[in-house]
Amino acid sequence: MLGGLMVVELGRSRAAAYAGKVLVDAGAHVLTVGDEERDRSLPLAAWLYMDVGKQMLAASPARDRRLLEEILPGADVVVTDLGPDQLRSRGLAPEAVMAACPQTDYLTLSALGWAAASRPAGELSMQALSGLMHMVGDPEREPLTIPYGMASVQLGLHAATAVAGRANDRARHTGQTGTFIDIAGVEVMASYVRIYGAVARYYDVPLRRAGRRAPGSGGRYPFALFPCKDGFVAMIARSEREWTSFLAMMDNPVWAESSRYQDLYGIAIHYPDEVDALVAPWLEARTRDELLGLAQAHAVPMAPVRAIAEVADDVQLRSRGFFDRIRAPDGTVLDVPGRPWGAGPRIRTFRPPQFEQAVAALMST
Amino acid sequence: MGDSVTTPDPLVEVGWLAGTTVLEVTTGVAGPLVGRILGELGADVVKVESRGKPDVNRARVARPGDPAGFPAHEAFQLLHEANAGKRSITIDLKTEEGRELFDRLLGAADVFVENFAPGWLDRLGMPIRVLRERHPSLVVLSASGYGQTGPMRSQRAYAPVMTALAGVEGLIGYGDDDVTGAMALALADLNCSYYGACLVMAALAGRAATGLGQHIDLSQTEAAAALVGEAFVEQQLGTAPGPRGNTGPNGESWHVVSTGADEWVAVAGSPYRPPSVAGGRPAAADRLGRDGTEAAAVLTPAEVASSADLWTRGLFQTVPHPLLEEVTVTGLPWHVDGAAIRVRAAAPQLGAHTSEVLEERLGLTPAEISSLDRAGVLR
Repeated sequence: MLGGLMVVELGRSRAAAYAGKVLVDAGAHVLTVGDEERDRSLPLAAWLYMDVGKQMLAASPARDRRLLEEILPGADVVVTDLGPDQLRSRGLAPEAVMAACPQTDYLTLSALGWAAASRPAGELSMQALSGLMHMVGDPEREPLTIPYGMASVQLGLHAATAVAGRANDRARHTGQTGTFIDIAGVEVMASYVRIYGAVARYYDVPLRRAGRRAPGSGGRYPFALFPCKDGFVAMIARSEREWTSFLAMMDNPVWAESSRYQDLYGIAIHYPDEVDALVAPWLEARTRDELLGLAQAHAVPMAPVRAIAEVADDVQLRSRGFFDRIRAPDGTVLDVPGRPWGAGPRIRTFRPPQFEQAVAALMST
Repeated sequence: MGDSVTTPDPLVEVGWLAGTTVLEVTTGVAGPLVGRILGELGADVVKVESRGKPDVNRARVARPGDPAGFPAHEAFQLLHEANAGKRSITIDLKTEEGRELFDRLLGAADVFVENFAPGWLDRLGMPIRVLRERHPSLVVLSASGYGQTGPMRSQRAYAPVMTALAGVEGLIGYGDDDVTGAMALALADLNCSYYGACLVMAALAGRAATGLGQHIDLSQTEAAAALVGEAFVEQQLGTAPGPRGNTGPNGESWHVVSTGADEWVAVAGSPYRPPSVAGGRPAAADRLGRDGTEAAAVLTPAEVASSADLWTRGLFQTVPHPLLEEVTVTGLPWHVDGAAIRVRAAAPQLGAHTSEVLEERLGLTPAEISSLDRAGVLR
């Protein structure tokens, strides 16, 4: 898809790293300029997952100069999550790069936006200031964050999307001057919260954490994780038909005939615990896999809460060849999520970090 | 983002996809939002619905407090969030003439986006394989819960069901055995939308070189699993991933400090120094921030939605609507050359552009369109 696109990733966090990963997966050539701080910021698991397929370069003052003079003029885009001070001290700030390389796009990623990128803010700020954190966790406890830098990862996905958009524009209209794109992680996550908050606003449900349940069950019961015999299942019914199918899956219990249990809005808002208690014994007598089988037979939107090891063995994902196999520099072989668009599995290895090779690769494009 | 910024950022209409035509048959959020992103970047996006089966976000009835005659089917916020700026046409694809019209529209399009359960096009006698043979330059995005193939391809799904299967929900909680999940986030939908828009534009870029389109079979569940690829590596390196509470992605301790009734400040950094809560949440966050410690107020979604700062930045924008006067829509959260991306229009009313699009794209005359309408093809 993006063959011939040259991306320079100047980053230290998962935001730029994930942007580079998505772009590599879509066929771009990504040069990642790393340093010791990046090595400290990205643990081994992140590095192995996000950096395979990239051309890795080790930063140094001399190389930063060559980067600016020899590589960036031929690059299509710089993607960075470094702060203004770090970039200026290296001579790689947007104004310097865009002056020296007028056709190169420059994309900055930060928690708060470029104008505030010097402030100490990262993943935690993205989750706290966007409203996301307020909605996650137990109502009787403190708000809860989501793991694995998922806000940074979303920020990176937005960057990859913007780069793909520019790549198409540049492919159709050559000779353009570079564009400066600034994406703030707080705004990315706030947009998600706002968009999905639409459902809660429609039902006049306060958007506050509600444990394993969506706030106010999203205005229609059920919308939650439910305990079962060997863990949890996620179950959501947004239509009358889905609720009816769930009841049929339970062999139509007598209690469900009461009008009290046919008002799904009323249950959601006023007495979800009461109905949870009615369905709990039936669910807790069955395993996740048994419930998945029944859900498939009855067209009920229900699925097991899987552990990662279980996902790795998932029949659906395996049948689609979803997982890539990567060979780490020490020879360890790992199966990791691949391209989520049916592109098939790959066997991938890490490229050696060679600066001259990167320059040669650039010259050949 | 302090409160000092008062001058609104300029708004700009981005033309990266100017001249690109997108046809979509979508419902809900994940698929429609792909089209909306493409539209905000300049594409002409035409949403094809039928009066018998409109987008599910039009299936709303007036609530008890709504005024008489309130157009609930055009008012749902999610309809606008996922469909702002598009044109809407109605075609009954169950009629032969409707399918013929649809095929001609595909012939005039660059991109086709669909997100109904796999198999619906087969049942209409228009399998994707055939569509691609007939229109080889077309980029087709199919966004579905599990993908177009595999034993679960037709299983019903909503976003949190997909994140549960993908392993994401099981990683969220206060401790090892305490799965809480994040049911309110519907991350699988919005993640899918941006993946989809990214891949469509990448495929268009590739098409510029080859002239050939392609079929992108995007699985929301797989895209969700890709968010936590690190956990798969950890699992194989000997660390069983599970809920870790308020711990940073690199294992650092995070602290969530109460500053009042359900008011909190989140603090990163180590060693941890408890903040003074005097002055409440903003003061505590500011004090810590000045010390170089990452600290942020845990804002409520309502506070975020009313944030003067975010309105100034153009994240939320108000656009006119013919029946509702105006609606507020969330902008694409990017700044391009210093400007926020303008939301071009509210979501279209059902079928508002049927005649316009058929005349413009297919050269049909008003008389031909009336005839099709009378025959029930445009319902």
